[in-house]
Order: sequence, then structure tokens, then C-alpha cells
Amino acid sequence: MKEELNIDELLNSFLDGEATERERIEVQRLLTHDAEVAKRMRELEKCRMLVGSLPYAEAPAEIMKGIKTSLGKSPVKAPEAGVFEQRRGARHLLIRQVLSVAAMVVLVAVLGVVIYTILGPEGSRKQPMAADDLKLPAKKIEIRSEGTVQPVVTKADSPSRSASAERGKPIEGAKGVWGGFSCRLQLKTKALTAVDASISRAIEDSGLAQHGLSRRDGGERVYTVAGSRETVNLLLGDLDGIWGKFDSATLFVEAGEAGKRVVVGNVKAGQTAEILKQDNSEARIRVAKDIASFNRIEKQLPGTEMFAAIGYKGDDLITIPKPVLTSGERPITKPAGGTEAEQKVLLTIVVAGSE
Amino acid sequence: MQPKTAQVSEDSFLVQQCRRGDSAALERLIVKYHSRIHNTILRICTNADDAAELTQETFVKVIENISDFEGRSGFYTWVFRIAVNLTLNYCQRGSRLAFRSLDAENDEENEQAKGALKAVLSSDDLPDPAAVAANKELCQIVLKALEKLDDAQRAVIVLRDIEGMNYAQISQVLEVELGTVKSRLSRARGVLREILGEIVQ
Repeated sequence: MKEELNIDELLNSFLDGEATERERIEVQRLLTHDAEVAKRMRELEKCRMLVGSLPYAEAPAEIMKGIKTSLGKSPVKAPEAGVFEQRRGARHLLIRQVLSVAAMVVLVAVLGVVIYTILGPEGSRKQPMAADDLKLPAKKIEIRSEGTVQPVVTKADSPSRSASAERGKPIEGAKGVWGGFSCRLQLKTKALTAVDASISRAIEDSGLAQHGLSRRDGGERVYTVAGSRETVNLLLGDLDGIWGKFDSATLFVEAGEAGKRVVVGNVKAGQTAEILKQDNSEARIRVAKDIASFNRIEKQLPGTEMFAAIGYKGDDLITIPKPVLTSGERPITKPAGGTEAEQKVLLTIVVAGSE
Repeated sequence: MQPKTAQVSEDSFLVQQCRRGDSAALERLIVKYHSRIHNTILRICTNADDAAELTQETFVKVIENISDFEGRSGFYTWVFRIAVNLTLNYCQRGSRLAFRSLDAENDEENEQAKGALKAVLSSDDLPDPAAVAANKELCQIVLKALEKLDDAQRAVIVLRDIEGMNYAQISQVLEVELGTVKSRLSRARGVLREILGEIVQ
């Protein structure tokens, strides 16, 4: 039976053209020599032919209609939807990438600004602000021969000229625009008449009278003198003798370049001289700050009364350690001696008081 | 009929178009295969109404799954696999084919068909296919003989002798080994030969 099946398989493979070369040779040999196999082969061939001769059944038209109806309802566009999703995903990814890059750029910019602020050149951070930039009227002191001291609004006079251009202009005697160092000494006393006389004499003795002017306004005396550091120091030396008559003495130091002002409270004549003898404005400001700090500390220290009792005047200044520059940039130092204008001093002494 | 390679490349192109949402390409594929699919289903299930329904169901499945078709086999094989699976499932669901006994229709026309079949089988020469196709009674006898085969045997005979598939294609459609196709076909033809022999006796 099994052998019969194997022969049938062989015959069918031969009949259908699926037999290998070896099988074909074997079948041809069997057909030639075995009449039974040949008969079987013919019967199989007839069966195959009978089935294959069955008429072809055309599909009814309704089938195509039904399929078309289903085609209309069915979501054939599913692949397209997939493509749309892919595109949307790609667009979303692109937007995220762009936003990430933008965020990184902003972060780098912020970091750059921070680093520049920390490590950048000193000048770039402490650039004095010009009056033009601030849109504020820049004031400068003009000394007129008529003997009145009044502020002059530079911008109103010449709007095209910058305030920085005005600064540093040299003094022209007692007349013209002041370009040197200026400070104001604010004093209070209960012996105004005596003090007034002493100051006037001291100004005269120092030779500053011809460059100075004074104004008396009720209980206030204003003396404005301009001269070299040496002559102003002589004046301060003379004033040291009457310093005990002052109830309070405050020095206002104008730092011409940046418009800074340092207020030195409880100042002494010697301290004022110490400030004025500095070569340039920066040094004067620095020393004025040191003295102001020292005087504040001294005022708060216990035993101030004791210093007064033993006659200590605080002339020996304690040198306060200066801050060490930690940035990589070295400060630009001006040559000793300063400019000619910086050697000139404009000192305004305002004495307020009563008899 | 087109050469196989040309047919495959055309099918691949149309399938690609379908996957891009081209309904016209899908319609072309359906038009191309719907009659062949219907004929195959009809010869397996033997009922015209069921065949029409199963054909429609086959193409609905094709439409639904065309985006998942990966192209590992040809579209032709894939469609026939869906059709044959649906038909065999339908046969197995118990909607058994309404066999009509040939003995019960022992009328005059049947006797004539039997005579024609006897002549074919006893002749040493092969019958003329056109003459067989023209003889409706003879065709009915052959169809009845086919119905007597079990579903799997009938499917393999239909795919080979009516649809003209080679063994490899039958193997892919039925998802069985090539050897299984050979043995199943051999048995099916043997049984058919016996049935036809009994009819003419």
C-alpha cells in the first residue's frame, strides 16, 4: 500500500511537472516496463484533465459592488495616517531640537556675560558714566572775577560737548573753568567772629587772598581759595591752631573724574593736609576714605575722652591695609606727581555758627 | 496570462501604491483577482451564495490588512491564503455542504452523463477539455465527485488542477510542507479516481 502511494506521488509529481530529473527517469522507466503503472498514469491524467476542464465560474457583479462599498467604508488611508503621524513626530522633534539649541545659546550668552563681569577688564566695569549718558545736567564750578561761586549747567550751554570733555580742563588762575582738585570744608563753631578773623588772616598770610573770595551770609562765612597744594597746606597749618574752636569739621572731597564724593567726618587739619598732599585724585579719594573710616572707628571707640584729656590729636594715622586686587588685570597707575591741573587745589571753607 | 515575474512586480507596485493610500491601485488589484478567488472558493465550498459572500469577505480582509502586508510572500499567494483559510474555516464551522447523492438523482440525464464519463475513462486517449466543459452533466458528475473529497484534499486539488498553482505556491497558501502537498494531492487524486470509477460501474 505504502509502495503504491509512493508510486502515486511519483506519478503525480511527473504529471504536474514537479518531478526531479532522477524521478522523471525513474517514472519513464516504469511506464515503459510496467503496463499497470502506465494504466494508472493514464487514469490520473484523465482525473486531472476532468477537474481542470470544469467551467470557469465568473464572479457575480454584486461581489464587486459589495467590495467597492466596503472599500468606501474601510480605512484604506491608514498607511497615510501613519505617514502623517511620522511627519508630525519629525516636526515635533525638529521644534524640540531648535528650542534646545536656542536655550543653549541663551545659556552660553548669559554665562559669557557673567564671566565677562567677573574677569573682564577693570575699566569696562567701572567706566564713569558721562552726564550725557545719564541725560542729567553736568555741573562744574566756574570761578568768576566778580567773586560769586555758582554752579554752571554745562549741557545747557553747549549741548554738543560731552561732560567728560569738560572734565580735567586746567584752571586759568582765579578765572575760567576749574579743572583741578576741589574740596569743601564744612565747619561749625560757637565763636564765629573770632574764627572768621582767624581764617581771613590765615588766608592772607598764606598768600591765597589774591586768588580767593569770601562771602558773608548771616551766620555763615564762605571762603573760596585756589592755589597749589603747598599754599593750601600752609593755610591748613595756620588753621590747625584754631581747630579746637570748631564743634564739628567735615570735609567733602570731590573725586572729579567719576563724580564721586567722599565725606570725611570729624576731620582734623592734619588729615585734610594729608589728603591734599596726595599726587592725584585717585590717591586723594583713597586716603580720604581711609581717614573717614578711621574717624568713624575712632568716634565709636571707648576712651575717646581719655585721648582728649592726654592731648592726643590723632595725627599719627593708622595705615589701614589696602584691599588686594584679585582680578587678573593690574590697575593702571598714573605716574607720581599727577598732572599740572591735579596739583591745583580749590578749597571752599564754609563756617557756620553763632557768637 | 502574464509571466510570473511581471505579475509579481506589478502586484508589488500596486501594493506599494495601496500602502500610500491609493484606492485606485487597490481597486485594480481587486479587479485583477476577484474572479479567480471567487472560482477557487466556489470549487472548494461548492455553494454559489456562500462563495460570493466569502469572496467579498476575503477582499474586505485584504483591504483591512494591506498596510500590514510585509511582502514576504507574493500578493497573489497572500490573497489566496486568506481566501482558502476563510473557506476552510467556513467548511469546518459545520455548514456542511449539502451533499446530494448521485444515486438519488438517478434520472435519464444522469445516465447520459455517466455514459459520457465511462467513455472518457475507458478510452485510451485523453478527452478533449472543450468537449468535457461543454457537457454540463459530465461537469456536474465531476463536481459531485469533488464534493466527496474531504476539505483539505479538495482544496489541494482545486489549487493545483483548477487554479494551476505549483507545489511551492500550494505549500505557501495552505501553510504546509511541500511533502504534505505531494502526499495530499496524491491521495486526493487517488480518491477521486476511485469515486469516478464507482460512478461509471
